[in-house]
Amino acid sequence: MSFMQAYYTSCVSGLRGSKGFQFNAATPGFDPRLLDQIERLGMYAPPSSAAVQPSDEELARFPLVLLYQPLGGGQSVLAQSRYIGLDYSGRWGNYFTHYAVTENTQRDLANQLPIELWKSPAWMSAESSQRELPHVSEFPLSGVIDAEAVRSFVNERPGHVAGIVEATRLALKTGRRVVIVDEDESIAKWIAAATYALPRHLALATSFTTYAKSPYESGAIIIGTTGDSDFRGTQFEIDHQYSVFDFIHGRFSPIDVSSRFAKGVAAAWRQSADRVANFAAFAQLVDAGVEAAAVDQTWFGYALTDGRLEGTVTPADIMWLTERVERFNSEQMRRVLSSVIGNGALRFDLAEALFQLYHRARRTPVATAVEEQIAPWLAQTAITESESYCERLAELSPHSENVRRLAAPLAPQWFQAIDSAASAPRFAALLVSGDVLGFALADPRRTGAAAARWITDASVQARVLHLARNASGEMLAATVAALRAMPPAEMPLERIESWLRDEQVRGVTRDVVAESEDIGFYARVLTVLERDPFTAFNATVLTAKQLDGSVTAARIDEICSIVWRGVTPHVRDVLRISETYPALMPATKLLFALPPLLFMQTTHPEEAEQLAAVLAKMENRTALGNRFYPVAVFQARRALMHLNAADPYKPLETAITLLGKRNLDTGAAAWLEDAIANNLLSIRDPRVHTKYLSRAIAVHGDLLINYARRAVERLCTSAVPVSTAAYLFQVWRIAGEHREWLLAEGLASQLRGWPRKRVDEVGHELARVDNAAATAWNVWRLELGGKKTTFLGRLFRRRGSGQGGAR
Amino acid sequence: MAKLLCPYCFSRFTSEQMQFRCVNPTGDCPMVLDVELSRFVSDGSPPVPKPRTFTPPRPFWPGVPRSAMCSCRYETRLKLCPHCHNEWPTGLESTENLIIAVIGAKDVGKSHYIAVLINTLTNDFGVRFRASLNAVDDRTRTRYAAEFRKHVYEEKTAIPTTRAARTYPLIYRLVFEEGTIYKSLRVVTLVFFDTAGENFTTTNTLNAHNRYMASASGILFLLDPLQIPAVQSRLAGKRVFPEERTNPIDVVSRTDEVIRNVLGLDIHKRIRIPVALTFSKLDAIRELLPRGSVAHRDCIHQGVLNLTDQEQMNETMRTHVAQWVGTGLEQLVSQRFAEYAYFGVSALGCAPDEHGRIAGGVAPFRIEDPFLWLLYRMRVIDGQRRKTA
Repeated sequence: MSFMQAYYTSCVSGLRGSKGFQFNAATPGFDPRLLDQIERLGMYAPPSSAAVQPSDEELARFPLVLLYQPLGGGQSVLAQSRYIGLDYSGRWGNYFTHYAVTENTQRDLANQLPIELWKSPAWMSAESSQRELPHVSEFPLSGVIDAEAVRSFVNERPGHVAGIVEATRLALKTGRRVVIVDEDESIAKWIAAATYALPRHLALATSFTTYAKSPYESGAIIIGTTGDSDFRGTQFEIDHQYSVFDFIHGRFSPIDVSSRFAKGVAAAWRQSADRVANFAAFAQLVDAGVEAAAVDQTWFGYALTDGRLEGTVTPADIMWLTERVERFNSEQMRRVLSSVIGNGALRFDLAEALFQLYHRARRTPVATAVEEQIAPWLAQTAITESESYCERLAELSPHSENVRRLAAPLAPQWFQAIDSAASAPRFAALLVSGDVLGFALADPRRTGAAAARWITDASVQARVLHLARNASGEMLAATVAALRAMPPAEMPLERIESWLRDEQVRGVTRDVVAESEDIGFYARVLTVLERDPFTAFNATVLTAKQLDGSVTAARIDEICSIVWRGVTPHVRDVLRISETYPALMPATKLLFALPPLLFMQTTHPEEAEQLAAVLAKMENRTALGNRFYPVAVFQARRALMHLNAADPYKPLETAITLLGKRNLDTGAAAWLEDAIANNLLSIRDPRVHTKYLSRAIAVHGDLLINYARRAVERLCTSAVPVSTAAYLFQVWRIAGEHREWLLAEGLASQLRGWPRKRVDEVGHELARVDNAAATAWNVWRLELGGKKTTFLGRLFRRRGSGQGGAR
Repeated sequence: MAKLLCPYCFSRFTSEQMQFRCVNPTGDCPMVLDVELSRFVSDGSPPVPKPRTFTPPRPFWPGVPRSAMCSCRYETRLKLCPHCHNEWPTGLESTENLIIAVIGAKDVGKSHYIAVLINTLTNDFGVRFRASLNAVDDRTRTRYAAEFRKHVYEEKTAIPTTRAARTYPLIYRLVFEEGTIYKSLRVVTLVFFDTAGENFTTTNTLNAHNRYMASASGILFLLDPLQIPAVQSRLAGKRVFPEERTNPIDVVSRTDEVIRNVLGLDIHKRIRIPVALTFSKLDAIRELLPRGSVAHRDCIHQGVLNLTDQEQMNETMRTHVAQWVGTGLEQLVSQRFAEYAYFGVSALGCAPDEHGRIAGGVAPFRIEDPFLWLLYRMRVIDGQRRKTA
């Protein structure tokens, strides 16, 4: 320990060689730049209200300055500054500052806090006759500031200790300075209250001065000042810029003291001084170098090891413990976990965090202590609480003898629980935990009986089977027997899927399926087992052939409906079925094939042609073509898409005729309508257009709607016949989504050509059919009027008549 | 474009570079660590969080905008120097700024001179020159009240010794009323620096603390005749002499050195800053001056500087200074400075007693003379030759 010293005052002779304020003496080797730097720090300005020419008694009442400031590079300066009044020439305004500079703060202030040097007898206030000062190895303490003295001081003013502690932490984190307005000794004690509670490195980072006339010109973290200082204390400064504790005028910044650190330190000061003072040692051991922002967590850890749980434990707390688990000793860890676990029911996320802690502690000296606390708790929770804990238990040191030993007293409780399990998931969870804790094999017959009771439930099968395989032959036998006893038809595909996740269970299932004579069950299982539906279909058909000797079209139809349940078969599958079983291709497959066929007509024309050829053969063979006309529709569309220049209207006529067929499938009709509508819209000759449109509408009235939709999409509504109110309204309704352009163009241009009487007639006609439709029509017409009236129209339009617009 | 001069760090910058500090009272604007201000204070402490600063977008019209809009949508008027982040005194950018450097060794009476001069300018001067003087900022107001007026006028005691460190300047606004029919106002900002005498004892400290001298519009050298050995021998036994014995030539030559260093001025050229070589404590050496000398009578300048009186005083003091310290000072000053004049003043009118009390109260004598001469050389006031009484 070694401090360099320097005295500064107004004196006759000093290091500068002339009279006045200067360094009177200093330890040899002081860097002149360092002297320049610290000169300003120790400047003393007396309070405004202080006596100009004070008596000795008044001088003693001038605030005493003890300042501490880290200087960077491990250096720091401590100084006491005292107003001494007269200088050598008899002028007032003199002060004396005794500086102590250490090159290694951590080393030289390892055993004492800077604030403890308050009024140390080592501080000088008289100039030296020698220019050279010795190094000082130690500053004796005055005893004014120690933990007990601070405790009794703080307990007399309990209201602000948490605030000052929190404000100091905040200052270290954000730089927001703490300004304390009070008597100098009280300020020193407040500083001590805050710095005692900080980890050592943070306490040494907390610069302070017990008095500054102008806090604005001080850079210290904690600045003490008097009631008559230059500190204005505006509301903005109090609320936002500084953390103000003005005990003279009763002004205090709003400080959020809800942090565990602030609350904990305040409580600790009430309890015992040692409790506060020991925190620094704990932090040094467990969380050396902790930042001010994270000291909250460190305090919480300290409170846990102290056996004083403050507030609720969070997963973040446990994570903090986990990261530092090797820094605790076994006794501390026992106390920590006992505090956490003994706190009552824990949330699952907390249990997860504890589980992580357990894993982290495995290869550390505290592993046994951790396991002793966590394993019984987890076993108990798994048996009595929820299934989730069982999964964690399963991961806990698999089959660890230590775990089993710790959990052994819980065996009767486990058997009771598994016997009385109220649900399949609960049973499965208990089985898992019993497996880990060694209970499942303790009485395999009893376990197997319980397993057989719950085996039929879908959600537990895979896990139970898995466990059964691991656990005992009896359980496996019981499980498979239960599976075989189940009527396969009652098994939904979801349940089968849940089984088949396990490879070995899949083997068992295949055996069961092979023994089954139910082709439907077989098909269902294979659909899950095989990725390719056609393979499942083929295998099932072959099995059916073996079982029945032959296979009928109805059988194939049934198999198809199982394999492609609710799903349209891919066109390739349809082709493969039709090629493999051409004689047995069922009628329904034609319907399956139709939508992809028509879709493929535009996307994959070659495959579509191939499919169409197959279907055409089948139509001829089964005479189904007259019922559904898939190939005819396909061919009609193909003709409309590839018009023959010699007779361009023939495909249209054929398509219109086909559209008139009674049994035409609805989907096919829609495809055909689309093709016809598109073809109609491409006809440039209005006469021909009207002729074929009229014919198409006559054959299939709904065509108009499709046609109108196409027309709207292709922005040519002028081609839509709106000669009747019904047509007009239908078209208008279809065009609703495209109203904007519709109002500008298309229908509007047609309507403008109508006489007013006819427009009204549309409204009346609609009103007879549907009042709502009539209202909608009138609203639209009004909107139309607002958008497209001419200047004169607007000029003469009668408001609310709704007629000018349509004209 | 004319550059603005910061009265704190003496950096020059354009009006567009002026920064603003958001002082949103709701606290919505985040605090940021003010590195620039911390560097200015330079006591080694980490930066202090202050409301954020920003440079507003370039205004359409040249000049410093009155206010600026922060990103938090608060309109602030608090301007800052972009280099040191000290608060920019209100209106400083739109007035003539005259920095008056009061320079002198320890115990020559710089603080007393400033204390009494400001009081005189505030009260008596206004009537005669149709002018008014008022502090620009709270810091000046508070500091003058606590460190000057309190001692000299309220407690009637000598001002305590000034602390040797960088201090903030005293900034005043001097407003003259001009014209008779069409009246207008002429505003001049005066920046007074009062620093400890210790700062003038070595060139190093002078460099560190008194760089403002190079930016000064006028320099007022205060010299204490009682520190001159020749004066002391003549008044031996009649006066109490200060323990200081600073040679005036040393102070002047150090000042010259600093100004030339800062401005990079050639040694062959003379410094064009007007210099008022002012001997303080004139009351104490009055008996050394011949009866009938202009130094025995006060001069009241009525609206203009009485040039006749000023020239007589200059000649009188020059003659006596040559007798007391030899011609070295005159030679030095005339070679180094282009414009200079000698003055004799007494701030208190009498020396404080052994307890530091000003028993008879403050009775200033010719306190305005050097200041008015500097204003005259800076073309702020006019001068006129008049018959002396």
